[in-house]
Amino acid sequence: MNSKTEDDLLLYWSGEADSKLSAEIEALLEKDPAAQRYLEELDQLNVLRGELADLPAMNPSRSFALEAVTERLVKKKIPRFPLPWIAAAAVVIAVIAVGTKSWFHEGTSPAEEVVVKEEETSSEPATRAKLSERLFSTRPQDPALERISIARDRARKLRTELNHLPNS
Amino acid sequence: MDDSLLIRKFCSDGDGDAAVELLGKYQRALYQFIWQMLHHSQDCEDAMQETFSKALLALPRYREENHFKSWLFRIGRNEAVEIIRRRRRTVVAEAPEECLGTDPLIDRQPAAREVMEQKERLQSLDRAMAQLPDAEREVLALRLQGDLPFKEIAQVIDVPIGTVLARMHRAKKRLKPLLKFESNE
Repeated sequence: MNSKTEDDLLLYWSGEADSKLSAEIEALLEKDPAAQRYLEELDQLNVLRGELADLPAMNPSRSFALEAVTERLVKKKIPRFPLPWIAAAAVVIAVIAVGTKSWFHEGTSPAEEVVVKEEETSSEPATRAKLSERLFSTRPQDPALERISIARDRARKLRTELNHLPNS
Repeated sequence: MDDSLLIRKFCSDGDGDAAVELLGKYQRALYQFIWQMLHHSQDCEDAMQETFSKALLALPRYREENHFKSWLFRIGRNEAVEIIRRRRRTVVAEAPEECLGTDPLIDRQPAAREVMEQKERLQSLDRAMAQLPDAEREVLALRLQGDLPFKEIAQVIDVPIGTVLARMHRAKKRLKPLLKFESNE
């Protein structure tokens, strides 16, 4: 029996042989004991298949079909965010808003802190007027200071006049 | 009910019962085929879950009229192959005990000689099948457990039908001593 005959026997056993091939195989089976034996062995496989199929381990203990369908339908029902790009845009806007807010906070706070620190750490006596008061105050100044200032001006003028005199 | 009708009911109307009926028709055969491929309960269950999940996900795009069974088996076969590749499991070691399980009848009636003989015979067959080369075992399991014709087996494993027939012939040849043992009884 050659491999072509074996292939034909397999197709016949499987029910896949057309009518012409079936007739040829049946004719062969009548006269060829080897072909008969080959077919009997294939039938034995079928018997064993049936016995194996009854084993507990060969049978599913769960309904995989029901589980898979339930899982699929549940996943379908869970509402998801409609459009991914809308979600992405919302995230970007939120990040920008938070960033802008914190930038404003960071821009004003240090300046305020410097002023406070300057005022707190100043080594000048507490009785002395603050710099801003001294510079921009409209109040009349101390008379002694005024006199000193007048004397300085006079001295400056005298020095200028002396410089303009011819050398003696 | 016809497979095509069940598929339409699920895809168009969202009929879950139709999908359960469709997959349920092939659940046992697919499980037995995957079992023969993996010989491990947990792996087998993982492969079944993945197969059905992927099948349901891909079902709206399914276009192979009247070939749903081989399409499903192709997904199952790919899952099993992936598990074998990923876990590098030795399929032979765990086969006999796990396949046979514990039969309460045998425990309670130790004198049940016929039951014991049956157990031994099946153990021999299962061991012999587990020791077949992967390619041959695959064809044998698709034919015996999956009950697929050779032409569809060729499509599932993507080889010419001549190759499928040659593998089937070699598998049968390897199992021949066991088959003789069967016929002598």
